[in-house]
Parts: sequence; C-alpha cells; structure tokens
Amino acid sequence: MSTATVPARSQLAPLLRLRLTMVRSGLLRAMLLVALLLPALLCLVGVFLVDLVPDEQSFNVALGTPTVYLAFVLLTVMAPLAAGGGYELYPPEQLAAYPIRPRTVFAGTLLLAPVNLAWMLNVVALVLITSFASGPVGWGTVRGSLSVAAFVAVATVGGHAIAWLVVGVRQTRTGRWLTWAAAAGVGLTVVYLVRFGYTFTLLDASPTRYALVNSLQGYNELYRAWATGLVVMVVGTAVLAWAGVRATAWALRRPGDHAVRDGSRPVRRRRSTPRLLGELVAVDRASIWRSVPLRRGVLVLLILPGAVAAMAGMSWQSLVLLPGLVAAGAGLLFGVNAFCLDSSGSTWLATLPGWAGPAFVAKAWAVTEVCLLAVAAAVAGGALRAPLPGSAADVTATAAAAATACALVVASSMRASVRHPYRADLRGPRDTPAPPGVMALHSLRLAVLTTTVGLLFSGVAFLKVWWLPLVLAVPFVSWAGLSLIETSRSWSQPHVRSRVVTTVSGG
Amino acid sequence: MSAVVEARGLTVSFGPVLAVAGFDLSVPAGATVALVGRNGAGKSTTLKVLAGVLPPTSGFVAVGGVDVSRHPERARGRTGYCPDVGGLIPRATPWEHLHLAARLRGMGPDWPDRATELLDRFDLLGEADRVTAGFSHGMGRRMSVLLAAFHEPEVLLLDEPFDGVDPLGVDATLQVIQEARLRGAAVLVSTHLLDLAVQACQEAVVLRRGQVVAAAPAAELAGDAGAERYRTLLS
Repeated sequence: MSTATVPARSQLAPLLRLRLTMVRSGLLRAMLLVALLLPALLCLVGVFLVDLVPDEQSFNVALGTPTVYLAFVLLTVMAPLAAGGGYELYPPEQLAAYPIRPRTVFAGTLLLAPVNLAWMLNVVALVLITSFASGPVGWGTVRGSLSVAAFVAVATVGGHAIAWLVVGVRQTRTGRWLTWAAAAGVGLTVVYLVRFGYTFTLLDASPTRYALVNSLQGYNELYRAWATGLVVMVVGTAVLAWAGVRATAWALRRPGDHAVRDGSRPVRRRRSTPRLLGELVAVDRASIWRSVPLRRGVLVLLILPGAVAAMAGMSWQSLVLLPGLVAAGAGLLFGVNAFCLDSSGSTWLATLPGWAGPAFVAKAWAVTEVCLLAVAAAVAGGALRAPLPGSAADVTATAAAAATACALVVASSMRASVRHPYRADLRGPRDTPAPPGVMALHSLRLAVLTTTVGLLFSGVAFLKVWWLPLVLAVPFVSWAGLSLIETSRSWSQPHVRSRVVTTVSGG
Repeated sequence: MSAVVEARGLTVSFGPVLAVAGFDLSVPAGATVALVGRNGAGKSTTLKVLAGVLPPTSGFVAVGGVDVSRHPERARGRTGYCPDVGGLIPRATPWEHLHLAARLRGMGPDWPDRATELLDRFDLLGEADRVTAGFSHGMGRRMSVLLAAFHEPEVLLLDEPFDGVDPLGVDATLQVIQEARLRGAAVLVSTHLLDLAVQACQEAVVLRRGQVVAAAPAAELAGDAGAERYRTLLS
C-alpha cells in the first residue's frame, strides 16, 4: 500500500488529540484547562486592576518596560535551549516508527511553549505593564495588547528557532566546544558591561523598545505606524517559523555523537561506600549526572539564577524571593517523579532484599541535594553584588526561606513521586519526568507554594527581628518532615510500591 | 520432595482484569519448569508475584519455605529474578549493578570473582563499565539473566531470558539454568520459544487466561507432535 506525504497540520492534530485523550482523569483535565486559561484570565482582570493604580508612575514604568520585554526575549531563548529545542508532545522513541516531519516537531514544541510557568507569568507581566504604561483602559488597550501578542509570537518562535539551531550545532564535539565558548564569551561580555557600568546604556538601546512604541502607537490611534509595526512583527514571525523548521530539519538530520558520548564510553569505577544508603545515593547521583537533560538542567540551575541575580544587583529584600523559585525549578527537574531515575531497573531493584526503605531515603536525599545546591548557588550569586543588608533579619529571612522552600519542595515532590509515577527514561535531550500537561500542573503547584513562602518571609524581614524568620521556618520544615514520613509509610505498603515500580519500569 | 516454590489458589487482578485466576503450582528443589502460554496468559504476572514485585490479590505463595506476602524481604533473599522487559538501571554500568546487588544481598568479599566470571561467560566483560542505556536488547537480556543468577539463589525466575539473545548468549543462559538445577535450586522459565523451553526444562506448565490447562514433562512438547499438542492447548 502506498503512502502520501501528510502535511504537518494533519500530523499535529491527531498527535495532540491522542495526548489529550491520554489525560484520563476528569479532574486532571479540568485542572489543565484552568491552568491554560489562567494567563488570559489574569490579563483580563489585571488590566482593569492596574487601571485603578494612580498613573503618576506610568512614565517611569514606560522607561523600564523595554527591559521587561528584553527579559522575555532572554526567557524565550533560554527555556527551549535548556530543554534541547523545546518540550515535545511525545518522547522521540515513541514516534520513531512514524514519518513525523520536522515541521510537526517544531510546531509541537511551539505549541508546548506556553506550558511553562515562567512563560505564562512573563506574558501576563508584559500585558499588564504595557497597559499601565499606555494609560486608561479602552479600545486602545486592545490594540496595544495585539502588539504585545505579536511581540510574544515573534520572540517565542525566534527563541525556538535559535534553540533548534544550537541543538544542531551541538551534535558534534566541535559544535559543543563552540557553544560553550560562545556562552563563555557572552558571560564575560556581561560581566564587563556590569563591572564598568554600561548596563543602563545597553538597556536603553534595547531594540525591544520598538515593541513598546508599536503598542503605544496602537493605543494613541496612530493607525498607519501601528499597522506597519504589526505587519513587520507578523512577517518576522513567519520568517522565523520558516527558519525554525529548517533548523529543526537540519538538527534532526545530523547523526550526532551523543550515543558515543553517553552510551559507549566506559566510566571510571567508584570506590565502595561504607553504608548501603551511600551506595544507593551514589547510584542516583550517577543517574542524574549521566542523563543529558538532567545534567544540563542542574548546570543551568547552578549558573543561571545566580548570574542573573548578580547582574541585576538584587537587594536582600528581593533575594528572599529567589530560593523558592530556584527550589521549584530543582523539584521539576526530576523530583516530581524521582523513582523514574531507576526507570526499567526498578523491577530488578524491587527484588533486592533491603532495598525499599533506603531507596526512598536515597531518592529524597537526591532531590534535597539538587535543591540545596541550586538554592545555595543562586543566593551566593545574588549576595555577591547585593547592597549591604539593611538588617540581620534580611539575611536570616533569606536563609529561612531557602530552608523552608527546599523542605516543602522535597516533601511535595516525593509525595507526587509515590502518588503519581510516570514512565520516563530521561535519556533524550528533550525528555521530561512527566507528560507536558502534568509538568504544567506540577510547576503551577510548586510555584504557588514557593512564591507564597518567599512573600511570607519577605514580609517578615520588614519587621527587622533577626530571629523571627528562623522561628517561622520551624513549623513549615516540621510539616514537610511529617509529610515525608507519611509518604514513606505509603511507600512501605507493598501494593503502593508495586504500582510505582511497575509504572516507572513500564512493565 | 518438599516444594521450594509453592502457590495455592494464586489470584492476581488489576481492577476488573483477572490476570491469574487462582491456580496451584509446586516446584521441588532441583526442578526446572517452563511456564508457557499465549500473551496475557499470566506467566509474567506469576513470576512477578514469586519475585515479590507484585503482591497477590489472594492465595498463598511461598518461596524457599517463606511466605512471600508475610515476609517479602526474606523471600527476596531466596530468589533471583530476570524481568520480562528492561530490568536494568539505564545510567548505571553492569559493574555498578553487581556491586549494588552484592551489597544488598550481603555477599562475601569474593563477589568480584564471581561477577567477573559471569561477565566473561555472558561475553559482557568488555562492557562492564559502560552504562546499560547504550546496550542492545540482547545484551540487556544477557545482563538481566546474569544478575538473577549472580548470588546463586534457591529460586531462579527467568522471564523471557532468550528473547533477542544470540546463540552464545542462549548457551550461557542454558548453562546457568543447568548449574542452578544441579545445586538444587528451583528454576522457573517463562518463554514463548517452545524449543528452548523444552531444551532448558524438565517440566512444562501451560497457562491460558490465568489458569493452568496442562502440566507435563517438557519432552512431551518436543518436535512437531509436541508443537501440535501445544497449539491445541492454547486454543
């Protein structure tokens, strides 16, 4: 029987339909729908709320708006880069037998771009800040928001096109060296600019100011200029989409040597550890470090938040919010499905005597370790260039927020790992520990949890009582500890453990 | 002779699906039994229960005289299990698997000698320090059989050990089964490859829809006549 070339649109629709059908729980579907509609709702309500704020500051806000747009551009490049091109509807091996076109792959990753809490929150921030900078709500706000939507589209498509290009370049050893050298070059340039005070000059010259200007033109009924700018952004989106498809096709066509790097090269034998738990932790550490997406995720978490915090010269009041966001990111790396580290090996591990108890502790420890390291790196980076703290309470509040956020993320992640396990190999560069919709819900849940913690400790720091944040952390950390014990009891039940093992091993 | 593996009224259900429908099984020391049957007959589920991976819904199951439901840890100490799919930690090396198994099973200081000998026998010595994610299917199967036999268990449970394995790997697996039988272990092999089941085992148990439909000397399923009889039992 002959087959015909199927257009990407025709391939994407059934893939998406199957993915949605696979969300069996009605509650989960409802939660997913709410999570996807939330940004639109927040924009709608937020526009009217910011309209109530006195507009004396609107000019100053307008001056800072291009920087917020620039931050969004950085996010749209970094997020798909960190995910090896972007998240996919299905792990590649599940579609290996089908003639999936690069256009479908690229469109799929674009479709999943909004299933990312940072992307959602930034889009809401762009709409609200632009609306505030423009003036009172009216039809002009709608035109201005159209400009924001066009900017979001061009930035997101462009970011993904760049990410796929980098994926292609990184298929070879030389390419990887080149990207590392480019990253180091960018890093050094930024350090130079910050060190010699060129930051504001650079930000003032940001081309993203044209996006704001276009939005203001729409608001102020300068129709010809507004329409021209809008058309430029729409055409730019189309051109970048074409380039993105070409980059995806090139990246997928390149043979690459990842298999040589990650599968064939022998690794050095490590020395035996005196305790059994240490042995299991060592296996988990190796599983994290030898996994392409996890290794890259850990490196990004260790470097990026700290570097951004250092560049921004954040105050200690703002630093209090940082540990929560970083801890949530660390939990999302693999923590929400920690037993997938063993993947198909779980079935064999489950037959080893004395494995179950230490295995739970080892997994919790692995998640804790990544959380603590990432948070420590971020806070250390921020503290490097932060002005001197106003009081000791600023420092203790940051430390307490870090401990609390890590404890809550670990407890929440381990609970999710035991209650809702998924089969995930975390082998390919775009693999995630759970399907995209589930990851969106996890990220929403962890972000709400950790942002609340950050805001709470930030508020307590204003009271300038150094011991108060530490005392406040005690009930939260204790609650997290109790939650972990409860989850560990659940794990000790043979039928619960059997479900986790069978699910993550795919057996 | 007392049974090393004993199942009475073993039932396993997954929601409305009855995977194992209350059968009895008894395997004495030094016996090799092939579990054969169609897909979904309950072979792998039975082995998972015996290995302590899956708790039975009802019934009594004991290995080496230990009730698997009441003392799963002690029972696991007596078994060696090769699962039907995977069975290897993707980013750990064979040597790391063996190291962990030796620690958890409390093996003596000479475990590296045994590990090296088995790796050599299964032609995996050169791959001992490569992560198993890079292994072919057949290499993964060989490694899983090796891990099951590593600690010389009282009960050896092999689920599809010959699947995708080359002739030398098949020979090594047959040798492991023979050695286990000679030292008095009970061996259960689940496979779709009837010829190898006959070659490896003395007895054969045919399962259909979670129930035992026949139990006979494996030799009776040999040759064309045996294959024809087997087909009749499956339908």
